[in-house]
Amino acid sequence: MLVYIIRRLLISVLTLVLITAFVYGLIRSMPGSPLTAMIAGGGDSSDKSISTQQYERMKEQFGLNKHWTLGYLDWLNGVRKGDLQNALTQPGTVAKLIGDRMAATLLLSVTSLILAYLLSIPLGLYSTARNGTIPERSTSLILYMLYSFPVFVAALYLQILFHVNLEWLPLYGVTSSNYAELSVLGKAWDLFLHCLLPVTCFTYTSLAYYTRFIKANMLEVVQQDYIRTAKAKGVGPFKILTVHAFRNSLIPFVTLIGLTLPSLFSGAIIIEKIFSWPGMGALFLEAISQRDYPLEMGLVLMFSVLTLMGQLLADVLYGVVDPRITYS
Amino acid sequence: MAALSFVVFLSLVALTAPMIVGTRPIVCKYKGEIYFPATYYYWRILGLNTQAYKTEAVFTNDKFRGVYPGNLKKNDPDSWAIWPLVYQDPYRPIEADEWPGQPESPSGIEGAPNKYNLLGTNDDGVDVFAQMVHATQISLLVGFVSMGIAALIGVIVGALAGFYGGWIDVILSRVIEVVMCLPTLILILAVRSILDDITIWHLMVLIGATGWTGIARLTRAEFMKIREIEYVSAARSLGAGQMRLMFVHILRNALAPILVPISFGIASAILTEGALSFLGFGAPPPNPSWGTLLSEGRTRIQTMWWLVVYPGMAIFSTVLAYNLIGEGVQEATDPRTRETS
Amino acid sequence: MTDTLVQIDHLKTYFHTEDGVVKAVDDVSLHFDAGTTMGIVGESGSGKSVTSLTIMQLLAKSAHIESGSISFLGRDLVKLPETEMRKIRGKDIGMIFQEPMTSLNPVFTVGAQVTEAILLHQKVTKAEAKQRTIELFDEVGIPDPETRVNSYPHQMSGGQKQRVMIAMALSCNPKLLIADEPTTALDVTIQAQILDILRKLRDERGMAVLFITHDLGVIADIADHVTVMYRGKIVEQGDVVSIFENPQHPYTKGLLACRPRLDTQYKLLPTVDDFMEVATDDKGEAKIIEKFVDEKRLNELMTTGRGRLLHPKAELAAMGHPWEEGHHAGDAKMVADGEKPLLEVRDLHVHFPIRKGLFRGVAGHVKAVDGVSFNVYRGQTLGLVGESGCGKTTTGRAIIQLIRPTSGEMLFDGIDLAKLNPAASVFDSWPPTMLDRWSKSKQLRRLRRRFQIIFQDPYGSLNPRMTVQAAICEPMVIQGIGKAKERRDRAAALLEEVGLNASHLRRYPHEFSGGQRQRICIARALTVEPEFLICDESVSALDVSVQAQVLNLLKDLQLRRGLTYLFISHDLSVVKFMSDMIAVMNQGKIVEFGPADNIYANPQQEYTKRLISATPQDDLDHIRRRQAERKTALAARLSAV
Repeated sequence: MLVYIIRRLLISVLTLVLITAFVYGLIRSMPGSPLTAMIAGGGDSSDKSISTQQYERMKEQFGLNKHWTLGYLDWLNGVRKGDLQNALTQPGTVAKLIGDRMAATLLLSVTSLILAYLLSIPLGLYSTARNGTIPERSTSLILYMLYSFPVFVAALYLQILFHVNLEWLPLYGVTSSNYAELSVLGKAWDLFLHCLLPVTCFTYTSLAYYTRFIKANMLEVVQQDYIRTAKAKGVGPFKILTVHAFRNSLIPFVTLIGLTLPSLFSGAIIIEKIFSWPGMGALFLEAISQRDYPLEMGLVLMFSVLTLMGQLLADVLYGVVDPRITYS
Repeated sequence: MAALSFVVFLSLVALTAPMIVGTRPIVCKYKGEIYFPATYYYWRILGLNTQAYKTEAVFTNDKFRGVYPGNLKKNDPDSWAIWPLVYQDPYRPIEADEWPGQPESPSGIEGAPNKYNLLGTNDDGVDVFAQMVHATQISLLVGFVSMGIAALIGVIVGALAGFYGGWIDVILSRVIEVVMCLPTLILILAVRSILDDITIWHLMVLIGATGWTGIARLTRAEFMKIREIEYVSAARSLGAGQMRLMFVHILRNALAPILVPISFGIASAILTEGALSFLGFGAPPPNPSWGTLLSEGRTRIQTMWWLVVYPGMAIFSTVLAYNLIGEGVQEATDPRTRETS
Repeated sequence: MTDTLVQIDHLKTYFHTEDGVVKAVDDVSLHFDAGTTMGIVGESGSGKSVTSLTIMQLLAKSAHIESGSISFLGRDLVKLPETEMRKIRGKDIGMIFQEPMTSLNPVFTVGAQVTEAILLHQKVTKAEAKQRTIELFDEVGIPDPETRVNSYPHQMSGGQKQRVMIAMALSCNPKLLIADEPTTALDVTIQAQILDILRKLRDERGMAVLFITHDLGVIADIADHVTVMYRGKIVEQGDVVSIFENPQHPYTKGLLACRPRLDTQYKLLPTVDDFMEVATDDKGEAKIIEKFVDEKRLNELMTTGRGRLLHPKAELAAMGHPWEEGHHAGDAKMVADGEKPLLEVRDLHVHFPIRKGLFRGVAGHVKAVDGVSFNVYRGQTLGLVGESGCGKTTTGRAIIQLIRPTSGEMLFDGIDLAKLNPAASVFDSWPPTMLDRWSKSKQLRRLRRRFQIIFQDPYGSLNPRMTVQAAICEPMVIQGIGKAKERRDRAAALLEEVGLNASHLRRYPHEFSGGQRQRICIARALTVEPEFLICDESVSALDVSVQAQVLNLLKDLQLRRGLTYLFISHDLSVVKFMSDMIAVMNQGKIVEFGPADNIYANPQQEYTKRLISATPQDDLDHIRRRQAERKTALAARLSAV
């Protein structure tokens, strides 16, 4: 098992180097640099007249005068030492910037993940048990519609309904402008109201997807021979579903858990943009539009690590829930 | 079935968009010649702007400035023309009395749906209905072209990895992983900044070039499964070459399951285009796109609800339709359901 | 002991499918007493399994019991509500299924699965149930039961899994045990062990057994009474001796006759079609018409056809089976000394690497084939027999270069095939000599015309998306034989030769039965006019009656076309029927090699003897002896009580 994990980690490191090198090459070959972005977006007229001297100095300072391969090696060397460099366009190190935004993203993603799991498992089991009946069919249909509902459309619809028409919920942001003046309870309530719409948007697609996934797997499992064996020894239908069948359909389900790992931390660019939520997705968008190389690279590194780790986690979990799998 | 007819309906709308809504005649006779000025829109949507201007060179020379109804009669009293069902333009607001009796397009909050602007107008006064109808072409094109590209890459990579296994598989699997981790946004921004003039084609190629990993993984798995089945061994023992084994024997049997992610992929490509346009990274305005409309709507969400509701419905129903078709394909190719039928 | 335990009256179970109603069980009535063993025998589609599932009320959703009753312990199971039925399942009726591999839940330990059954029906604590499970495991012959209860199903062999299934079924001392083809998926030696345990436990507990199988040999070994089913109907019932001694129904007669037996004298097998004919009457009902089979016909089957063709005298002597006059059938011949074999396998090894560790280094090898040598002479049939995993299939595939042999020579008509097989990877032969590789692989592909293979699975070996015509013509296309029209004509002629007709050319494989598909595979192999055919378990997936037809066809083709066969099978009686020489394989090696009749009559090796004694016997003496043994066992049990 350990050998297997180490082997997989080694391969992952290789893949990571490939990905980051490719991305670094790509962003460095784009015309425009953080300096031009700064000059263009500088706002104040005095900033616009950065002297050529200054410009060259900054270029050197940021390592932009070197060929991109050398720049990449510098970056890689930093990563090896655990240093993701400083961000160019915002104060602070890349690591700190990411850490600052993480909380906001996790607040949304963890809440919605828990919600989605709590709801989808009973729904999936219910759909399997009542497969083909009218209530099950209508549930499936609604879930299917939700599954096809693009999240950016749903978010806007919800905003119109709950903010513009009903005026129940705030439009966007994490807290109201008078947050500081509120009592503890009031603060919690304020946060709750702000979370409501983004969490809904975060949850509904995965809920629909998980439920369908569980149902599809359960329907396959209940056709297996060992379910017939369980019936033949007199096990009741509820226990067959929840013990014998569900334990088996967990096997593909854990792969899903592994694959959701990156989205847990990476946030959703679109949802965060719509709700002006200061999370990872928003940070990524800022980094891209401002050409902040170190920040972009830090984020790409993080996403890639999470994606690869998610796959490894899925495989390892697979071995845990399925006694047939041994890694040696 | 409903899904299929909806897709057929969408395709018809896309094909006939300039005939449904536009400011250029479908057919007209002008100074003794027959012209099809509405073809202008087709070229425009494909990003072939020079070609588009060529179609109305005659009229540009006669200083039409894209306004036909009055100018046709003015310059040639004998001219006649067949007009689109609705006189609106997806690229510009209509001025007063361009079309006899039709007022100037309202703009901003004034542009709520009315008799002339069925689904309202946007901030600049451009008709939403016209944009939506013309945007159908974009979403359909994106769906099929980018999925076509993705399917091609995915099937080839997956087939090679699955058929040969060994070190070819190791390398190709790494490639798949790398592409999976690549953020589409970075790639698109990179291409956007390298090319001055990004068109819908670049977008489609990019969506295709990043969206093939799922297909490749499935193809790889199918190839690995099928290459162990005895008819492949049988063909091998008959002396069949590798190409024959791959394409005649394996691919033909793997095709049905591969079709499933492809048909779901059409929906997701349309969704990606919508999302990119929504974030402002799509084909640049004034190209009509459902996503662009939505993103405009987001900034005016307090007042101009029509910019959100109608394009949102369009994206939703299109994605739903393609998903339903994918579902149908899945059911039809599922061995469990196939055996009983 | 004469109280009726199960009484089934006019049972009809139909399947309602999109293609119409399938009458799986059509007016079946049978009964048997407590403590007796009822065997139901029939081929696929006879309704024997559906009957057992109907008793258990475990039918699929598409099945419906149209009418009839199943009386068990004074209750009608058909009318019993599901909650009541659940109390009977596992408690009063235990059941064992065919596939031990898939019938146990893979994610629970085997002990837990048996314990669950005990806890469901008995008022005992968990610890008691676990203790009981260990005792049961011991009873069914699982070694080291205390640790084995904690194993997962995948850690056990097929035979052991079936023992777990038996322990589970017997955990609550049921009055009836239903065994649905419990030994079909197992090797013959394991089958013998499982049958032993079933017999022992049955006699000890005095329970009734409903034993369902397609194998008459197994029926002869275990049943007291026999029910023969055919297409959903019962065609004959009786006690086991009378069924085997004096069958009445033509189908039973045919079924008994068409089985190749170890002591058979036939050169060609009688088939069910010799005994009966199915006609459809005006109402569309199928009717069975008996055909008269006279002695002359049976005699003809015994004498006509090709005789055995044995290895040259010197080789026979070297094998330890020297030629002795009178030892062989009258028309047995020998290959002349000094004649060159068509295929010469020398010290064949096929090893599969086991990769382990950080860099996937080769940590060891699975020696699937470990030094196999033999000769096959032109016109001969060499039988390769052994149990699953012995390496017989790998040997066959290595010979025709579908698997790359690790080492060894395979001289086909003097050409070493292994040398023509291009290396699996370019890097295996560095520097890559592409031209050489290309020309060799081309040479091998040309040579493939001369040797062909027929696989086991008639469903898997035809590409489902190719018409029969495309499938049969493909070898000619690959080998560049003939023009389109000629290929078509040849395909049609070949179909006729294998007993199908030319109108089948446009159809797809799924429209054919297993036997027909196997005929198509044979036709496909014959298109290139090969000299040498490998039959890899080619009849194992077929029903006995169909198996007889295909075996006859193979023999017929051999005689007509002078083919040479390598006949690979796990079934000793089939191999003996087909082959001139037999090689017995075990664990990658040939343990015994000799003339077919000698191997059976005078086995030299322990393993061969075990294989022969494990093969179910259905001669009358054997059946009578078994019945007598059972009576004494029962008497002993009664006196003990």
